[in-house]
Formats: sequence, C-alpha cells, structure tokens
Amino acid sequence: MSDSTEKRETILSKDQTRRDFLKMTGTGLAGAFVALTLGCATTVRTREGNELRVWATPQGALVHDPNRCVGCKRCEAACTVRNDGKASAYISRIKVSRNQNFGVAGVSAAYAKADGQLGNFRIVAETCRQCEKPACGVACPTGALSTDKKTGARVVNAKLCVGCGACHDACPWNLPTVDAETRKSTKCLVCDGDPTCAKNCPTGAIRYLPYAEAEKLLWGAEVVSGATA
Amino acid sequence: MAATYGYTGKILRVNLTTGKISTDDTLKYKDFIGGEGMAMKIMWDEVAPGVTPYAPENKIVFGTGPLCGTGVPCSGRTNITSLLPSSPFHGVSSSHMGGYFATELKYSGWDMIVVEGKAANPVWLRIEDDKVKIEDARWMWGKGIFDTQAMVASFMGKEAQVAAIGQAGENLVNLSVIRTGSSHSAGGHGGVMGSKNLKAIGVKGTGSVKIAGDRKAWAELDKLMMSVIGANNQMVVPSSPQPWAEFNDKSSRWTGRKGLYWGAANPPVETGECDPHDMQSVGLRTMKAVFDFGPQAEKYTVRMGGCSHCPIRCHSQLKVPQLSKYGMDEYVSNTCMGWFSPRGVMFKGIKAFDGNSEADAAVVGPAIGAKLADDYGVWCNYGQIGRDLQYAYETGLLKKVLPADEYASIPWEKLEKGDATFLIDFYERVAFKKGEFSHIADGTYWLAERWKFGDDFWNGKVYKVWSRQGFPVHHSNEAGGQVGALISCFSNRDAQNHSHMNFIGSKLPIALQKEIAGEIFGSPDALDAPSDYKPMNEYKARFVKWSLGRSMLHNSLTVCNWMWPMSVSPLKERKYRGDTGLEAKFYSLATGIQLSEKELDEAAARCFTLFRAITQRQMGQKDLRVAHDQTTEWVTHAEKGKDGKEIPQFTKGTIAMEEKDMELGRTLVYREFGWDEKTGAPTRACLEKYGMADVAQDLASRGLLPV
Amino acid sequence: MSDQHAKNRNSASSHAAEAPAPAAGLVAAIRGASAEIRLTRLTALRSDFPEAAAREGGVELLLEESGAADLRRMAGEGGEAYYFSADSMTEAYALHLFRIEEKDPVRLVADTVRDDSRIYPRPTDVRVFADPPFSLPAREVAEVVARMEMRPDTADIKSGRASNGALYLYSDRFLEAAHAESLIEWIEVGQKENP
Repeated sequence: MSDSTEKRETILSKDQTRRDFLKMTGTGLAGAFVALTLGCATTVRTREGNELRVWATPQGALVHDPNRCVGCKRCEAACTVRNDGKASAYISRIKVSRNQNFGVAGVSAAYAKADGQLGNFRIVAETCRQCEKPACGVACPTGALSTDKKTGARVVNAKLCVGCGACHDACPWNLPTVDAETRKSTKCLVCDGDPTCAKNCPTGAIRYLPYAEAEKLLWGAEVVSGATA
Repeated sequence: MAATYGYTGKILRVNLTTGKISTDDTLKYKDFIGGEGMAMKIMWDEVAPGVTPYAPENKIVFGTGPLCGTGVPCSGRTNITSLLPSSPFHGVSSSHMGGYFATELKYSGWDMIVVEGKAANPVWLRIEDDKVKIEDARWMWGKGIFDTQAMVASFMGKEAQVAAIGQAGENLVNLSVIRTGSSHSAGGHGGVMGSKNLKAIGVKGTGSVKIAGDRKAWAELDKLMMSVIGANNQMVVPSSPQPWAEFNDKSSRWTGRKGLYWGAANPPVETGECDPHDMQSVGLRTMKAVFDFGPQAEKYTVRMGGCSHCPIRCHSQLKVPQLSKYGMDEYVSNTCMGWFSPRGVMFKGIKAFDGNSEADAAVVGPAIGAKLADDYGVWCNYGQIGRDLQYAYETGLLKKVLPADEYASIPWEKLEKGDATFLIDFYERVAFKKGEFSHIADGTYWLAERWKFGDDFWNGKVYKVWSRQGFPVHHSNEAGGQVGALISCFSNRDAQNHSHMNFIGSKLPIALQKEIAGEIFGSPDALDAPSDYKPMNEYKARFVKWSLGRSMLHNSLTVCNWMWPMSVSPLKERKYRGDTGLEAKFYSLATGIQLSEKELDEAAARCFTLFRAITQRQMGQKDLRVAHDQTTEWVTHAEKGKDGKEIPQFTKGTIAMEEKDMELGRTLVYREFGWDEKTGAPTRACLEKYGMADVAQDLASRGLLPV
Repeated sequence: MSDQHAKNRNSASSHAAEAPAPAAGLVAAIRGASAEIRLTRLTALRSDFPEAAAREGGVELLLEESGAADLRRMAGEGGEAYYFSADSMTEAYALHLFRIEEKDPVRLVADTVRDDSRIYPRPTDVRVFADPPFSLPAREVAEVVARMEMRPDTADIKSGRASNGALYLYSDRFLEAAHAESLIEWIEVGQKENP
C-alpha cells in the first residue's frame, strides 16, 4: 500500500505531470507565458518561433468518486441528451461505460479481483480535468478548441472541428471523442458551470469543484477521482 | 434511412443454421411498442404451433424498447421472448434481465435481435455497431458465465456487454438462465440458447438513441420522474421514522438512514437520511443488503448495483471473504430471489457452518448459492425449485425415485445441519445434469410427472404452486386479493407482475392507497386492505387489466416493472400521488409519436391479447378459462386460524379466495379485455379492434375463435 | 444532503418573516434545535430566557404572538410543553421525539403501537423499539411488554407471534385478533418468501 502511494506521489506530483505534458506536446514554454484574464486561448510565440496557444485557468473541474459511484450511467445519458439531443455512452463527456465491467485497465485473467462490475465492483469514471495546458487543444490542427468565456472550460467549436481525432489521441486519457454520427469531437464543457452529470448523479459521486480544489484531487497523491486511477 | 427517434429503427436477424445475418425494420412493428410486444408479433408470425423450445425452428427474441437507452429512469432492461421449456405446452413466455446489455445494444444500432436455427458448432454472436459476426465458441463452451463474459470482452474490448449461458444452458437444463454483468439473469430461456449452440452475445456500440422532443422538456420530465420515484418496488415510505417523513414501515425497502453504511466500501459510505427531495441520495435509499439479509449484511456491502440509467440500486454487491475457502471469488452480487432461492433449497434453514456464526452464515450461505447459480446459469422457477426438493425429500419420494447409490452420494447431512456447502453439490448436479436427481430442474410440471408428485403437493399451501402448469405464486392472492390472484392466472410462468405491487406495496396507509385506487380505477373498492378482502367487483377487474397491460407495456418500452408504474410518490406536497401518465409522456417525447396514456394502454392491451392468442393457438384449446386460467386448489380453500378453525373467506384474517368469486373475477377480466366472457378467448371483434384480423382468421381456421 | 436542500425541506410550510424581538431569540433557539432534530422544552426556554419568562404571559404567549408559522407546540405531562419547527421535521416525527422525551416507555410503546394499528393498519414488530429513534435497550423492551399486560391503560395492547417466533404488538381497538395474526405472519414470514 505504502509503496504504491509513494509511487503515485512521484508520478503524479503536479510539476512532474506538467513536464510530462510539455514533453508530450513537444513544445518548450520558457518565456512564453503571458498574463491572461479569463477568456479564450491567446496565441503567443515561443523562443523557437513556434506559435503556441496559452490557456486561461478554468473555474472548475469535475471530480468523480469511484467509492460512491453505483455505475448507473445516468450521468452519461444526461450529458449527451443535454448537449447532443441524444443519449450515448460513447460520446459522453464523462466516461463510465468503458470502465464499467473491467475497470480502466481492461480485461485481465484476474478480472474477478480487478476493478469493475465483474470484479471488485469498483466503478471508475474518467472526467475531463480541463488541464491547464490542454493536450487536446494544443493538438487540434484547426483551432477548434478554446476556453469558454464564462467557465474557462476547454470547449469544442463544432464549426471548426473537422473530426480528425487529434484531440482524442493527444489526451492522455482519450477523453475527447469524435461522434461517429456527426464526425465532430465532443468533450466536457461543464454545462455553463452547472454540469448535468453531477446534477443527475443519484449518489453524489460526481462533484464540480473550484479548480484549485479539483486539481488537488485530480493530480495530488490523495487521488479520489477515477480520472487518475 | 430516415432518422428514427427512441427506436434505432433496426432489428437484427440471425439464422444460425445458414449463417445469414440480415436487417429488419423496427417501425413496421410499432403498433406493438417494442420489446415483449414486438416479440409476441414475431412469435405469432414466425413460430408455428407445435414447434418445441429446443427445435431450430424456435426463435429467441432479445428485445429493447424505445425508452431503453434514453436515460429514462429504470430503462436498462432486456426482454427475452421464446418458447418456455419448463411449460407443459411450451407456452410462449418472456424472461427479463437488467444490467447494461440493453442500452449497449441500442447504442450499437439495434432495437432487437431475433435468433433462429441452430449452429453446427458452438458459436457466439459479435455485434459492433453494424458489424455483426458469428464467431467460433468451441473454446468457450463448458465455461461458466463469468469467464465467458471476460473471454468475449477480451476479443471485443472492455466496453463490450455480454449476455451468455452457463453450463446449465449448454446442457439444456429447463431451469436455466441467460445472464449479463455481475448478477442480472433472465430465467427460463438459457436452454433455448444452448439448443442453438449459441454461447453468448457480445455488443458494443458507438451510436446513440435520439430524442425527438425538446431537450429541456425532456430534462423537466426526467426531474418530475426523479421526484416521484420511490425505493425498490416503488416503496415510498422509509423503513424507520425519519425527520422528513410522515410515515414509516419497517418492511420497506427504503432502508437508508443516518448511521447505515455500505460497510465494505473504502471508506464506508453512509446512506444518510435520504430525504426524497435530495436528488443526490436517490441512489442510496435502497440499501437492499440489510433488507435481504438483516443488519449483519452491512459490513459485507461494497455498494449497491443495478441497471443502466436506474437510480434505484437494488442489487447488493458484497465482499464475502469466506467464499475464498471454496475457491470462489469473494465478490458476489444479487437481489431478491437471487439470494432467496439458495435459501429455499436449504429448506431446513442455514445454521452456523464452517466457522461462520449463524448471523454470518445467513449471508455466506446464500452468497455461495448465488455465485454458483449465476456462474452455472441455473434458474429457480421463482424459488419453486427449493419447495419441489422439500416435497420430494420430506415425503420420502426422492429415496424411491433415485438409485440407492445416487441417493447415498448426496450430502443430506449438510442439508439437515444447515451447512450451506450442500449447495455446492446441489448446483453441480443440476447444471451438469448429473443423475436422476438433476431432473429437479426440469421444471415443476415435468418433474411432478416424472417423480409422480401427489395431489398433496399441488394442493398443499406450503408448496405455493399456483397453477398445474407448474409455476408458483408471485404477488398473487396475498397481494390485493383477487387482483393479484387473477394477475397470476394469465401467464405461462410465474406472473412476474409488479404493476400492482409497486402500488399496493408502497407502505402508505391503506386509506390513502384506497383514495388513489379510486382515482385510477374508478372506485376505492378496487383495493382492499391486506388480509381483509371483499368479494370481486368490476374495479378490481380494471386493476387487473391495467396491471397486466402495464407489465406488457414496461417489458415493451423497455422500463423496469419492478419500479414502474408510478402510481404513488414519496411526496407529501403531491399528496403522495405519482403520475400514471409518465410512460406516455416519455414515449411521446422520445419517439415523436404522440400517444396518450389511454392510447398506450390500448397498445399494451393489443400486445397482451396477441400473447393470449399465441397461448391459445399453442394449447389448441377453445376454452382457456378451463384449460389455462385455473389455480391449484389451496388458493380457493378456506385457511385455518391458529385455533384450528376455518376462517371464512372475505372475513378479516385470511387471504384465501373463493371458487365462484374467482370465476366471476375471470369473467370480469375477460370483459375488460373484450375477450369471450365464457371461455376467455379473444373474439373476432376484439382482435379486429386491435387491427389483428389476421390473427382472428388464423384462430378461426383452427376452430379456436369463439362463435 | 446539501444545505440548500435542508432549507427547502417541507417548504410548503414556509418560513415566517423574522419574529420581532424579544421573541426572536426564542424562535431562533427552537429552529436551531429543530434543525438538529431535537425538541425544545418549555422549561428549558424559561431558564435560558429568564427575561422573556418573567414577562406577563411568559415564553408561551411570546411564541404564540411571534408570527412564526413554522413553530408547533406539544403539551406533555405535568405542564411541560415541547416546541419544534415544522420546517425541519414532520409532526409525525416530532411525536416520536415527544414520546421519547416524556420518558414513559410503556406509554411510548403503547401509543406507537396504537398509531400503527390505526393508521396503516398493521401490527408492530417489537424490535423497532430497539432501533433509532426509540433506541430502548432490548431488555427494557421486554420489560415494557410484560408491564403492559398488567397496566389497565394498556389493556388494548395485545401481542402475537409469527411462526418464526417474532413478537408483534397491536391494539385491539383498531385490529381484530384474526386480522392481526394473519398480518403478523405475512409481514414476518410470507413477505420474505415472496420478494
């Protein structure tokens, strides 16, 4: 137990993870920061001359508690009916279905002892962390991802989205998902600051927390959200 | 194809003999709503009378409905319709399972799956959106349902939802299930899959179910629904006094309260007081583990599970470390009969065993049974298997019918001592059809024929057999007197009907319930107080028709008839009224097809009448009143009180029905449906009214239509 | 439960406008206790608010005139009274607390049994008195049952046993013996066999 906690602390400490992100995007950020008010991403140039979008801090993010979740998936249906006019698990911005039976790790020979409904019953949902430097947004070739003016959430502009899936691939948790029916990417937009998934959770397992608070839970050692499990 | 709403618009057809996979149009069946209703239409059209359950000509229909997948509360159910092996005339019948299979099927683009024929070798069906393949299952054959699900998912990916049979289904055990997920089983049709060499169906979908109506209107309706919903079985009163509540009843499934925990969660999760206005605790109010087992279950409870889009979590998901001792995984989940039927097999009681105290044994014992039954895929005929065993054992019959060495090889001493490891031996014999004993799972009718059960069995109140067809009580005369009793007369298996239970079991005071009954059925006399039954009347007949129709409706939409309809609510400000029009409102908004509550009830009555016609055609009987709708004798015989004296029917203190009154009841129910009042057979006028002139024609050609 | 929600509970009875001083302190004390699901005794208010108690008409009149529509009063034995806010608990629940506060376990059990027999109607499982909110020690419950058989004011309370031995009580003012016996067996045994 203590071993794994220590490991988590080193792997998931905030700075470390940010460095991983930069590695992932292949961009040095030194000298590129500019002061931002809450609003859209701003484009700046790095020392190397690369164009880079800098992101305003989101107001909040979702945190899911795998210990409280009962796996009813009312969050997924509510999310997609509100945002897409149709119910779907695949494009839901909170991901429960894909981890439901076998957990994040997927099927293993030890499935009966692993996470999931066919194992220890633990249900791990993955939620968008509204990352400070969103890999999805950085990867988007058409600039379809930007910061919502009101909430600071990283949102998809469907008019600009070409459905290439670069956001899905870039996200370490593959959360943005291209809707197979519309060929547009979907990702968590925190529903104008009143996330539908959280409202519709019948056990209070999903909370929308101020960003600093959410960050601690999402990235810290004492991780409670499924997003990091 | 034009966009469809609620429905995906497609039915998948698979012929396992030829390997042909094709697509059918759902909406051509839309008069039959979905799920069970559409399945009845397909069975009528495509399965001729005389076909037997295990013949390739039999079909098995896995059905969802237009509300499944939309997010409507309690809409995760799969309806399975086929011929029933345990029925004496192989009556068409439906079994149902919850879990997550149905919504995944919708998201893969299919409303239903119709399987026919028989594969040459074991196969499994792989559905990934519109890609459908018949895969080799020879390697999976012989495996339990848990491993089978993992094996299918290892091919398809972790998102796959799987419905499968275990060894019982493979071995054509009549009492076998089709099961999905941790603990969701549909009892009765496992052998039908087995007979087709179909081990499993895996589904995975990237699609959606589209909502026709306004999104905000949908959200509002959902909110209303979430406010009127109760605990499991729509019990709207907490089990102990709560500051928010006017009423309480210790036998309510609304068990949430301060100080009650999912004790094996890490850290433990408190249910809290579960005020009905608090949407974030709806999923905590039904802490079923302590309801099913008692307070000792608290420490074993990891969480409460259930089905897609259902906020009422009725499956207790337990961590029972003691299971490891028997080589089983320690996590076990189930609800209601899943726990009770192993207890029923242990009919002498479960006592302290293997180092478990009596209190712990009360959890560990049923957990062993549930795990085995769920892996092998054994069905219990709604708990009847235990009472069948009890009769055969206690009358000494079993000793006569079993070869002496076989009898001696069964660990009866464990049964006598209350050692639940007896179940390990029991389920193995059943699932693998070992010896004469395994006929215990032929189903009561076939078993009673084979082992020559006497009239003392059929007519003994203690054995609870409802019909000579071999099915037991299931919310029958003890549930609303004639209302429950008559509801139980029309199925080809136990009634599985909760339309009435979800109302009269609400735990509200009877005076209030009677008021509400008056509003729904035209008179408070539709409902009597428990054990204080009055003679039959037309309002009870309306209640019966409504209950039969709603159950058919729910199995067609598909929503859970273990929660719906919403006749009552936990809300004082609504005067505890629910909303019986919610199904129609959701249906209209989801599909864009505007149907009123009355119209939807009529559509359900159409489906039920078609079910009736299939039953009649299968039985080849003109007079269903005599041939089909009768009960065993104990139902209509006066009960004896503690003093040994008979308690006259229709006085306080008895649930016994009376023969003539029941016959009047049948007549009044036939009248409500528009069937022939003498024989209970659908008439030409009735069938034509429902747009089924073809059915009338067919029945007439067989000389079955009432003149 | 969210605070927001707690405030909205039983909103039908609605908060009255803030009561004018000097009643304000009294009302606040009662509402505060009610929010914690406790009753407030009249004698406690008198000692906590001596000035109010000293006025003509005392605490009772002040509360009556406070205009706080959510407040309810229940009169106990020996001149004691109990107050609560209906915004925080139902009258039915307050009645349970009242009976507990009155510290007459025989009366508590008898009156609760009578309510069950009258309202639902149903016999009462004696085990419920060991659970919250009653929380009587199991031994005391047994004593109460024994004492009830001797007290003339509880002569209507009868007992019956299910076939598994479980003990139930009912009031024969509202439930006939045969009816009660049948319900006891159903609740205790039959219902569990028909899940």
